[in-house]
Amino acid sequence: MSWLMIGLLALITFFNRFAFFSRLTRYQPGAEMGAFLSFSAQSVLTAIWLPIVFSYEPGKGLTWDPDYLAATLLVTALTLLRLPTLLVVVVGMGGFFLLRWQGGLAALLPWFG
Amino acid sequence: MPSATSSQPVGAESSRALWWRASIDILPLSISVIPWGILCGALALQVGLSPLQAQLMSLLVYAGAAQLSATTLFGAGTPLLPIMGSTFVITSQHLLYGFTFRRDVLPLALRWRASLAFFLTDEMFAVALKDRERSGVFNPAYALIAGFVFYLFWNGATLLGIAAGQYIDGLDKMGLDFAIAATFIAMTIPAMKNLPMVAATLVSGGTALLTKPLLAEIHIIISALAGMLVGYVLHRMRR
Repeated sequence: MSWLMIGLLALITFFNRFAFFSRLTRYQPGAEMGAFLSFSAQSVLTAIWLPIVFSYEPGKGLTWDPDYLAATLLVTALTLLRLPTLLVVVVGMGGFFLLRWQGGLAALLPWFG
Repeated sequence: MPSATSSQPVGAESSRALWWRASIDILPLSISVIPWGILCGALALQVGLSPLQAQLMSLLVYAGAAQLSATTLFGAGTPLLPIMGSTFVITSQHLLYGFTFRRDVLPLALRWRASLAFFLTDEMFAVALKDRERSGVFNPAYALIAGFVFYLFWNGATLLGIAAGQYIDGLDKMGLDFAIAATFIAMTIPAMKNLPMVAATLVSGGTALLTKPLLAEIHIIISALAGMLVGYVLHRMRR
């Protein structure tokens, strides 16, 4: 079953990637569609990262992990300073894992939480 | 001096310079994906895949979120059909990526289209699209190199997870997903330069927060389409 699963999953992911690179479909996106698609990267990336940092549940409202929030603010600040992306990512990840390794914001600043 | 090189896809840039530029551009994203790759490799062993099968997941399926979810479902004894369905849904944003590059990619030979499709990921798409916006043309060699370098990192990280994952306790609770968030924050914040882009970001992010508990991984494509629609409408109103 695992071999079959790997083979089928490989077919599925390749299908999704290749579907619009295939000439079997005739449709050509025009200029208006191009304008619509120009928002795709921004929208997809935001839809992936925002729910990693924050979560929303009806009744509970917006919640977050203080470590994630602190590291997000750090990354945002570094980005606004216009530092190279590589530096932002390395410092942001480093800061986050350092914080976790120290037991998290709650352990470092007990009065904070 | 530009000579008659128009038949070459690379044009004036030497192939060494192109390799260098594409690799540097994809490097931050490649680094941020290392923790995820390690997790993918380690988790695959934990649910009973062999080391070879675990590596083949990254070599052939090659889709981080889909691999993690399929591995978890497989470990819980889920039948094949629901695993296939969830993988299709989770990787459905690639349809959007393919659609975005369709005009650029369609004239290329099949081996180019197939290779570009194979290496198409969130990260390769983001980098290649940025390069297209910067230069005005889609450079297939640039996209392929960026995709290939990212592929090497992803599979190297998976191998590391297969080799060392069993020695690391509580790998899935270390917050490895923040690495992804860090990169995407660094990429989306500078892009919020005008009202349509800000609106697309806020609508997509807000929709994602609201729909993730209801729709699981399908929230990505739904939220993205909502953000794109609002961005596009505002963009039209401004003209």
